[in-house]
Amino acid sequence: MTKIISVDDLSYQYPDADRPTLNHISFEINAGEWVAIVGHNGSGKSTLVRALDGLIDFKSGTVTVAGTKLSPESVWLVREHIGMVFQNPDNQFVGATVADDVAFGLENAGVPRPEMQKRVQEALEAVDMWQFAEREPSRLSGGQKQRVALAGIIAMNPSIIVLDEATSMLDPHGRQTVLSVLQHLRRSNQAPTILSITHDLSEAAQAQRLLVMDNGQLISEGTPRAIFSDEQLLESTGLDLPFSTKLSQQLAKQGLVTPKQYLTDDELEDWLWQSHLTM
Amino acid sequence: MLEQLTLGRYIPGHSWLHRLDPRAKLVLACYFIVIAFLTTNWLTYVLMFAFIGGVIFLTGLSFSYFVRGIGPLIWLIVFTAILQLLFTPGGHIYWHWGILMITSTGIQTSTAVFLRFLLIITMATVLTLTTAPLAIADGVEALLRPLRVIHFPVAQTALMLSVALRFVPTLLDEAQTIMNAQRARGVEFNNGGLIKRLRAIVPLLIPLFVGAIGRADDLATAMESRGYQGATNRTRYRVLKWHNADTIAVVVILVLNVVLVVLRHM
Repeated sequence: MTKIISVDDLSYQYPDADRPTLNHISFEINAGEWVAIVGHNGSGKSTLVRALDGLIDFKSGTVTVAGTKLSPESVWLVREHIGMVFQNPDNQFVGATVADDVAFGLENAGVPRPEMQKRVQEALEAVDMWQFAEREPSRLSGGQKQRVALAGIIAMNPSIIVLDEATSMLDPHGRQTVLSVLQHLRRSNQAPTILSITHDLSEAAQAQRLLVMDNGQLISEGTPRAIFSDEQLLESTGLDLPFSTKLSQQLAKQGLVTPKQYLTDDELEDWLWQSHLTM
Repeated sequence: MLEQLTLGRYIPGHSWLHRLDPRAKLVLACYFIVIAFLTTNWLTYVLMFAFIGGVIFLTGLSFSYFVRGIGPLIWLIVFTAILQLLFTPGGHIYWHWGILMITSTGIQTSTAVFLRFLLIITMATVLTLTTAPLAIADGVEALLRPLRVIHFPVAQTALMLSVALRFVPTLLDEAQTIMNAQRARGVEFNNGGLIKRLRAIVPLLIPLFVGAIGRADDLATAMESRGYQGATNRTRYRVLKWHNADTIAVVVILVLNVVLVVLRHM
C-alpha cells in the first residue's frame, strides 16, 4: 500500500496558549483509506488537519502529502491534493449561487471555461444538487450547503478529502445525505482517501481505521471495532459509543453475536427481528 | 425593521429588461440620468415621462413596486423642491416674507427639480428591480476593468462585492437571532426615546460584529484551502454576453437623446 499522508513528530502551540495543541504526533495514512480522527473538543484534531493543508504555520515536525513535503514553497501544490470541507456550512460558501461556489476552486486553478462548466455540472450531479445550480445559499438547508461544499471539492478531483466536523451542524437527515455522498464517492473511480474529524462515533464507525486524540496527543489507533470495545480508553477520552454498538456489546455478553461491521440503529433493529427466524 | 435594510429590491422576472446585459443597463441608466438634465420645456418632460412609462411597461412588473420604490424618497424630493421654491429670486415676485419669496423663476426651477428627481429615481428603481445584485456587481466589474491600467485591483474588488452581497442575508438572519436572544433577556428595541433606542442597538451590534469577524476568518481559511491566491491567473465561470437587444437599447436611448435636443429648441 502506498502512503499518501505521513506525519512525523508534528508539534504546534498557538501563540497565546500555555500548552501545545499538537504534541509530537506521528501517523501514516494509506491511499484510498477512510480514516476518522476522534476526540473531544479541544483535543487538537481540527488543528491537526489544518496543519496537513498548511493552514497553520507549524515549526517542528514534517508533513508529507502525496510525496510532497509540506513547506512554504510547496503549500499550493499540497493544497491541490487536499479538498477540505469545514464545520459551518455558511462560512465556507464563497459563491453567490450554488454553481458559482462549485466553480470557485476551478477558477482559482485557472481551468478554461468550457471544461469548468462540464465539471461543475458533473460535481453537482454527483451530490444530487444540479437542479439547485442557480440557487442562492440563503435558500438552501445546511445539508444542501454541505453537499455543495463537497461538490466544490469533487470538481477539483483531489486525492484526499478532509472533513473537519463537516456534519456536526447538520440535522440527522442532512448528515445522512452527506455521508451517503461520501459512501458513493468511495465506490466511484475517483475513490479518494477520506480523513474525517468527528465526535459522532456512529459516523466514525463507518471509517476503516480510527485515530484517537486527547490533549494534543495521538493516544490510540485501530479499527472502529477494536476501539469501541476498549472501555477504558473510551471512558478516559469521554467518547460516547453509538447506541447500536452498546446494544451489540451487551448482546454479545448474553451470547448473541451480531454482525462484525457497524450497524446503525435501524440496521441493527432489522437484523435483530430477522435473525430471530434463523436462531 | 430588517426587511427594509435589504440591498436592492430585485424582483425576479423574464421581461426584455430583465434579460438585458447588466453592463448595458448600468450605462443606459446613468446616461438617462444625465440627459434628464437636458429637459427644459413641457414637451421635453412629456417625452421623458412617456419614455420612462414605456420602460416601466416593459419591466412587466406591477406599478405598485415603483410607487413603493419611490415612496421613501418622495419627501426628500418635495423638501428639495420647496427649498428651491422659497429661495430662488428672479422674475415676477408673487409673495415674499423676510428672505423667503415665491417668484416665477422659483416656480419654474422647483418644478424642474421635482420632475427631474422623479425621472432619476424611477430609472434607478427600474435598474434595481430588474437586475439581480450579483448581476450589478458583474456589470460594475466589467465597467471598472479599464482601471486595471492604473493597477486598480478590479478582480479583488469584484470578489469583495460579491462576497459582501452573498453574506447580506446570512448577517440579517444572525441579527434577527441576536435580537431575539436580547429580547429574551429584556432588551427593548422598539420602545423609548431616540437615545434609549440607540443604546439598545449596542448589544445587537457588538455580537454581530464579533460574529462577522469570526465568519470572515473561517471564509478566508476556506478560500485559501480551495487555492485562492489573489487574482492571478484566475478564470471566470460567469461571463456576460452582449446580445442584439443590448445594442437596440443603446440605439433607443441615443434616439431619445437626439429627439430631446430637438424638442429643447422648439
